[in-house]
Amino acid sequence: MSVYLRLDRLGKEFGRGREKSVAIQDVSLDVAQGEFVALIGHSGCGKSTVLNLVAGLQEPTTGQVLLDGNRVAGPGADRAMVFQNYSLLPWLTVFDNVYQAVDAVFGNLMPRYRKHGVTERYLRMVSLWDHRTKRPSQLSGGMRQRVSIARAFAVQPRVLLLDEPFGALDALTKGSLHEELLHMWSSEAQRRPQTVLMVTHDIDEAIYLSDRIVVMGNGPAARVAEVIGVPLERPRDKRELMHDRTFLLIKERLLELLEEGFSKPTYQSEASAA
Amino acid sequence: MSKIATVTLSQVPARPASPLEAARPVSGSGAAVLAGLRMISAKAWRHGRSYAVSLLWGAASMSLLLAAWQVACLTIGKDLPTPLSTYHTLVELLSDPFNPDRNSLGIGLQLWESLRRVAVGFGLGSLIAIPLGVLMGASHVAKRLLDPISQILRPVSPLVWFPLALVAFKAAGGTASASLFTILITSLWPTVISTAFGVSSVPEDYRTVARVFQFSRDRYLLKVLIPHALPHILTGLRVSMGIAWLVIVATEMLSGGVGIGFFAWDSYNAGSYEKMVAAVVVIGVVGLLLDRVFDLLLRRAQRA
Repeated sequence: MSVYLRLDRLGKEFGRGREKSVAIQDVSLDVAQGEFVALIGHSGCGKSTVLNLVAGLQEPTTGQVLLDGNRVAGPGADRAMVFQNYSLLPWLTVFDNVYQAVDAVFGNLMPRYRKHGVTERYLRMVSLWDHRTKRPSQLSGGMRQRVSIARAFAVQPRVLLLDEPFGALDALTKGSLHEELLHMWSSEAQRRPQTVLMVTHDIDEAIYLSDRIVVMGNGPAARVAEVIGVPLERPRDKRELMHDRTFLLIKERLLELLEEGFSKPTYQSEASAA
Repeated sequence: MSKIATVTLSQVPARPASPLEAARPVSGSGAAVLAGLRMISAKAWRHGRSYAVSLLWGAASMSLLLAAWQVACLTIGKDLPTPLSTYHTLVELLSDPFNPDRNSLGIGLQLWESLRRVAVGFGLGSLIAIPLGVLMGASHVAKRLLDPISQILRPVSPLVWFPLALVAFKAAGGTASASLFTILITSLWPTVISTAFGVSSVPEDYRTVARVFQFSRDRYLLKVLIPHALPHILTGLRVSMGIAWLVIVATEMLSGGVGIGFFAWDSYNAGSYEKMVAAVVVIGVVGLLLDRVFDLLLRRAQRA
């Protein structure tokens, strides 16, 4: 496997002195180009911190992030992000929410009509072109997240960072967005492979979408507990997977890992109470 | 809206649609036209009704005020002009609002003079207040440096600012400058504080979006900071405007000359209390209208 994105012994501390807390410690991971990797773990395990470090929104305390051999030193157009709470600008229309990002990233590299074209292309992909003049407040949660996904794809990043993108959506909406995401990811891949790093706490989602699943241990000072490969053929069928042996084995292992982590503190607190 | 209405109306005689046809959801412009008309009239009806309701509330509110006034006249203030006598005086004053005679200058001209003064003072004040607020909201250094100054200057009464300004502007414009300065310096603060808050309170999420998607400083200003801060700035301006209008009367009482505040004071000195109270009514109503204007702007900004 040729490494494209390398997390090299990442550590992140917040605060200093007595207030100091270690969020993650010694997190290492090699991701190949075009790979879809899910980060799973309990809340507070530093999954989002890892994502923010890759995005360049935060500086690691120790270690480094290498993208195609270059050290990440801040946000860049080669990495785009989809946020759990959509983070659309409420005063801009659907079109402008995407267009402003496209315009900011491509600037003078593209004439205006091409930037319009790119915006249209991706809004059509998420079937929101007819809603382009609306504002985010006029859309449902699922539609808002689709705008956010279109925005991230439209800047044509090499790495896509998804921070619990479907966490706030109902199961049905979530399901159709999985399809849309996979469709966009694979159709982009025909032009050039796009690497995806997704934070989630939904086990089924992680298995269905990704090639590998990174299980984070519990914080503080969380580390990578285990990395599980998902050797399922694509395209995958959700209903067939329900009965697939590999799927079930992975799911069982994930549950085991996550419940282990979950029950430990409870046990400890009971012990200390006694 | 009016454009749509004229288009639809011009199309109606060209293709008269039967009710049956109109009920059918599919074909033709006729159905669409009728549906459009129905929608417009429903909207007008809803609009008209809400307008009538707010008018009714307004009337109720005014009746309450007039009743309280009347009661005050009957009980404590026997010399106080009653609503009715004030009304007569007001009508008389409004019958010749632009009388240019120096000794009985029309109330419209007095009002105009005050509005002009407020506009200049408040306008200049805003030109200082908004950038100052942006600076304080964006920079910790500016905030630390300027906040104590604003806290000290803010509670100082216009009644003190005016003589102070008279001394300061002795050589440069005298009374006129002093009035303007007094309005400016007292009405500044709500806009400064509100703008600073608006600028400093841009949600972390939006700033993150701007960073992830490589927004330049100009794009951040135009597409994130200003749209977020605008309602706060307008709220500040609205309060500032209220203060400017409040202060104008005080400064005119001190400065003399022309203006609605001076008119009230002058009428009091001349013993014509009806005129004084009529002026108070005019001041109040104009204050209300000014506030409405900013309310309207604010709503538009919030809808966008």
